[in-house]
Amino acid sequence: MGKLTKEEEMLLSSYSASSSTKGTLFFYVNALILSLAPLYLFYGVHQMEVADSLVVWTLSAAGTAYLLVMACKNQKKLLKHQIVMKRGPAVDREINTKFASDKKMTIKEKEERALFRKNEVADTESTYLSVFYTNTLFLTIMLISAFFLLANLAPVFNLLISTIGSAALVAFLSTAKN
Amino acid sequence: MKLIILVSAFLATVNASARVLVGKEFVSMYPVAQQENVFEYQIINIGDTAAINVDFSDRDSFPTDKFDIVSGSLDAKYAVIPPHSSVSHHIVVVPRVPHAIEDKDVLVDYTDSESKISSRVSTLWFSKGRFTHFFHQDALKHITGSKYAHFFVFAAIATPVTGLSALLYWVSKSRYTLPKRN
Repeated sequence: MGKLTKEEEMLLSSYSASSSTKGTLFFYVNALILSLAPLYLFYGVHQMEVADSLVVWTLSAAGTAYLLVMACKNQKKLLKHQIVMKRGPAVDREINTKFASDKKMTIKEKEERALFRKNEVADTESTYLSVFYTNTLFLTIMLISAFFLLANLAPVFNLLISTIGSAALVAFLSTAKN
Repeated sequence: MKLIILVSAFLATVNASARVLVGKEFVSMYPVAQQENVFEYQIINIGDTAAINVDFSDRDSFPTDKFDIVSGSLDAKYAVIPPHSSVSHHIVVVPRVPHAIEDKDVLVDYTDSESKISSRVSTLWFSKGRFTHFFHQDALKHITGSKYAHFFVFAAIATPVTGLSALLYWVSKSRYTLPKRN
């Protein structure tokens, strides 16, 4: 089997389950924000003091962030292939319109460009949609558990269960096959 | 205050002369500095004769370098308190700074209307060594303040990244969706 060209490698990587660097960075930034936001709520509403709760907060933030990144990546894998199928015709049309006047470009080249573009679009859209879906699910579960289900629990346990528990549930749901 | 009255009533010997008891109660919800704090005093005559020339004083509890007296007086005089009746006295003070202050002795001097014997009653046995902590206003906000502000800040932290993701997805989706043909 011959060595793969650079274009072929790029094409393969775009189909792979791994996320792009930009997408991964977005997941980490998002997870960091989402894991720190509940801490403010626990500081303000459940009156947890910074000095007393530093260890618990660090534990909660680290656990939540890790699980949210995992959930986003899993969700992205699920969504990407669905989006590639949906956006295909529109991307093909865009590429055809864009290079209609370019007589030098062969049909094969146009098809390759369309393929790259489809993957680009699917990668971006699946990143955004997975972040939106994961965040919404996490925030809803976390708020319900922290302020309704576990409202009477000691703030330390409430924080750990509602944040890490919600993130774990979201991560678990993201492992679904379909 | 009820406890003071009950214990005092228990300790009181049963005789026909006037017997005055005094109680002091913090009426406001929380003792807070730079806010109005209301104290109520009850002077009760549990004796069978009237108490006359009743002289009430709580001047030591609220030194003027630490408190502003908004209303009421730290001294009061009552010409007569009939038997089995009471009078109430209120003062409103504003502590200038958050601090803990020792509860001082409230003194009531009175004279029995029949025997003309003067007596003094105080809250010393009850108040000795007790402190009232006047908290900072921020501490009160922490307890009673609205929680909505915290939820707004939380929303301001958590929703932009979520909203932005939804917006960017929607923009891309509307760009790459072909119009449906009928």
